Amino acid sequence: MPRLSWRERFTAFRATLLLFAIAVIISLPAMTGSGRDLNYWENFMRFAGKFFPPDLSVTPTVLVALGETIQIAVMATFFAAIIALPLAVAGSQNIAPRWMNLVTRMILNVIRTLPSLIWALLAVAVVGPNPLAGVIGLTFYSIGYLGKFYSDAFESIDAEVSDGLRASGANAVQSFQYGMLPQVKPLILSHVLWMLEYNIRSAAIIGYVGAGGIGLLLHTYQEFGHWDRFSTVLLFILILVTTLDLFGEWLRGKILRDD
Amino acid sequence: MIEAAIKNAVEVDGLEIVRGGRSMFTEMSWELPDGKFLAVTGPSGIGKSSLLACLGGRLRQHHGTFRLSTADPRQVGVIFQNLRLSRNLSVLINVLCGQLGSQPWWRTLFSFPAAERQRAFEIMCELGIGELANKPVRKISGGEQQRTAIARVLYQSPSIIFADEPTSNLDAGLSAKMLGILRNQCDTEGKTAVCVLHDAELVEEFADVELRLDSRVEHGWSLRKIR
Repeated sequence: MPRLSWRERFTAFRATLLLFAIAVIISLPAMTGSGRDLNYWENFMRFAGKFFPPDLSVTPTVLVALGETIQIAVMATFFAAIIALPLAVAGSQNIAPRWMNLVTRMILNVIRTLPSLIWALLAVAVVGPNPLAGVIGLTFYSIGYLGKFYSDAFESIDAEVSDGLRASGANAVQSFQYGMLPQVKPLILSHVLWMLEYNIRSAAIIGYVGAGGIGLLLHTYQEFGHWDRFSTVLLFILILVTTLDLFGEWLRGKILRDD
Repeated sequence: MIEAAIKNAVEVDGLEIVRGGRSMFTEMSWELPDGKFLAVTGPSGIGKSSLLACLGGRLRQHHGTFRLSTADPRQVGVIFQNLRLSRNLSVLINVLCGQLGSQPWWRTLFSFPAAERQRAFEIMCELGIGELANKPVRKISGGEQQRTAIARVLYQSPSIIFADEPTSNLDAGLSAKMLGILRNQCDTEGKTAVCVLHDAELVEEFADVELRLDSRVEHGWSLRKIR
């Protein structure tokens, strides 16, 4: 009876499991604490106790800051959704020349390498601590992601549709507009919606570096040790993000199902 | 490959097409005057679509030459076997796409002129798909999609039409109606049609000439005058 060799038994899944197990063992030193004899549970309970009950008297202030957070996210998503489109075209292998793909994809990779907080920090250094810094920071960050998502969408299209239009005399702009863009539109809408959700979450934190929004409020309450107010802010962020998640999921499903 | 200033709409001389290392046919030569309807017939995989792709400039021949009476791509209309419609666009916009080549890009950037929309709509009504004007192509049936592709080419109004099985999804009545419209374009407007067909009755009824591809005959093809 022939037997499977070890190579045939050593599947990609098993290799991944083995690699992960090795990585866990190597990473064990990360579990080292301060070395002091601390009661973690008691510490947690003491700190969490400061959050309750939430101080709802700051609700009007929180709502204003929450509104500003949403505004920052909406503007950043709007700018990024537009700017990412030509970059995605330049980065798509089935549309633009190879050298242009490489340059564009490198730019998008560099943009994605920096977290949104760093982009916000850079923007604060340029335009000062205000909501505009938040918009600029999140716009850059979103361009990196939307450019990549759009690009992947363009590369998955059926090129025969636009080729057919070219064959009947349509120029490059027309064959793109009527042959390629309609194919990726549902995906693009879905990605923009996802980016908006993501930006609202990010906008809630970039205030920590002075880029406006509700994060600024979080930072202030933390600095002054007003944990009951801090928890009110967290409560409103939780409500906003949950609502957004549910609505976004429903809308994305509808857009993609209609396709 | 595509040259103007010839007296016939299509002239093929010593053509040979090779696909996957196999010669589909050799030494194919024929001429098709303006206003004529040529039916290309033969079993599946024999090279009918390859011949149309070659004449449409999308496939390179192995040997021989062919010439069309026009070098303007706007004057050559193609009904593709897989239709190549924009599934997320409405039926009307897909039909209007037939004339993209005749409009500058900025005129079609946001919409199409009202007169053009009306003309496209009239063609759609003639083909029985007028009520589908605003429906996305993805939501209509295969037969309706096929009629949309035919409407697009009729709206393009080219002098030569290459149609690859334009009635494959249609019932007998609709097939006859569509081919009747194409036939009428040849008779009244002097257009030339090269059409891949499978139905022998339709070939007899509408075509002037039958080009049969058959591996059993010499060179893999034969020509028969019908009328």
